[in-house]
Amino acid sequence: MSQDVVELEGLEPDAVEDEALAQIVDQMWESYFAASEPFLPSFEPLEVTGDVLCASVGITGARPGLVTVTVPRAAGRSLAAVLLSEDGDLDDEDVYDALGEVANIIGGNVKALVPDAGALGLPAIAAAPPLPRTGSRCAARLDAVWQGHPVSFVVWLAGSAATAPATEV
Amino acid sequence: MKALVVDDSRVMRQIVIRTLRQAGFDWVDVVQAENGREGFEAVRAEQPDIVLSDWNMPEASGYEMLQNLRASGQDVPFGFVTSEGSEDMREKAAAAGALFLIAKPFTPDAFAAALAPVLGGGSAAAPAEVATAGRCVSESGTSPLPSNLAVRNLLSDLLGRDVEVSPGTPTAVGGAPGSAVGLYVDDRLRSSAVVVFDFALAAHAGAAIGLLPPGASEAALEDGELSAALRQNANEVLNIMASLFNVEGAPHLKLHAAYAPGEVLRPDVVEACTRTGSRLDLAVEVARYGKGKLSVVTL
Repeated sequence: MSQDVVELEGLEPDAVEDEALAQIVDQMWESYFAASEPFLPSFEPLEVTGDVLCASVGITGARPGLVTVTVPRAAGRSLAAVLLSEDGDLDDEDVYDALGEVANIIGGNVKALVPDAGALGLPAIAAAPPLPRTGSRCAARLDAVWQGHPVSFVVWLAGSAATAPATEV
Repeated sequence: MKALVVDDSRVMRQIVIRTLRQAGFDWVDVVQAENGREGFEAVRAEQPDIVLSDWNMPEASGYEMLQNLRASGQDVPFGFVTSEGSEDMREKAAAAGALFLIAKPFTPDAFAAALAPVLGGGSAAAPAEVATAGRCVSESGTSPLPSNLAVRNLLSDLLGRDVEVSPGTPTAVGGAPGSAVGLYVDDRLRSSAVVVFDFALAAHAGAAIGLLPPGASEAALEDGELSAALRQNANEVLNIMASLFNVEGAPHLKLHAAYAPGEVLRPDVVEACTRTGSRLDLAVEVARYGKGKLSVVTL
């Protein structure tokens, strides 16, 4: 197998691509955040650093995957306030719950695109993005700015035999 | 009417409840549960008219809850509200007995279209394109109006009296002493027809079917109130009226709710009773008892 062939295989569309992820996020924003500030996709990857929250949901099956949503804690609080339609004091539980639900909605819709997917896990919240499993690759990514905060959505999928290991972590 | 909302996320329960309101179901009471086990218990304790449940939850999933409900003979209308809306999930949901699956993210329109057949009302536009669990809700046809003759024959057989019917005017609902109203649904719980008896006909038919003397209905007319026995009998007549709609090729209808004269009617039932178009308005006379009015509206 020549190097050229490997590169071509690496360019094959994966089950979930940036465009599909963007569509899913867009639909969710339209449904639940339309009344808030606009969601501005970024063409450059954005680094979410400092006091961050990351919600992730796993997908089991032939190609296990992980969907993550990473935001600064302050943005997590704003997301929860919009979803709950409550401006008052939100406790951490509400913020984790809201961010987890965002990850769950994205995860459920991503799972529908993955062939031979098994089950969708329950959302987990951490203070840093989880390390994806060995052999996973970043299948799709969407970075955006909302209320001045960076928001990052990433879909990790275990590489299949047909995909090149170029972006493996 | 009562809806049970089951989701482990408080945020999502709030969104579901808010969306119910936005979809026009602001007259529905809502109770909540946090997982499939609590939801199962809440169905027994609260007797909701519909369950809206997440699929993926700790302790017991919505799917397990639905299976447990059906295994224990509970046939409460059940719909999933879940982030997983693939064909596989819809088929699995339908096979387990779910009426529909609403995929997250959802809009008030999706709620209105999926729930109006169960709850009635709502602000649904034509629900033709709504993908429910497994199939489309607009499949079956509407019920035909019965003929004057069919109404006469049924009442005559049922009451054991000669009955005369002639073209009449719409029977009013609301006000005092009010009218008896039956709401009929098909086997997917869609509101499909209403029958209205004015107060006099409810009294006369209730007395005749119960073999009570004509004095019983005359007394009710004087009091402006039906006795418990007459109310129950009138409901029984409304129940049997369902057979008017059950003709070959039409959806099978059954009485879903009977409202006694003076009882507060659901707004969508009032709307159905006063709808123009597919309706039959009759003046009815039950021999030896008296005259009244009857309206049939198919939806």
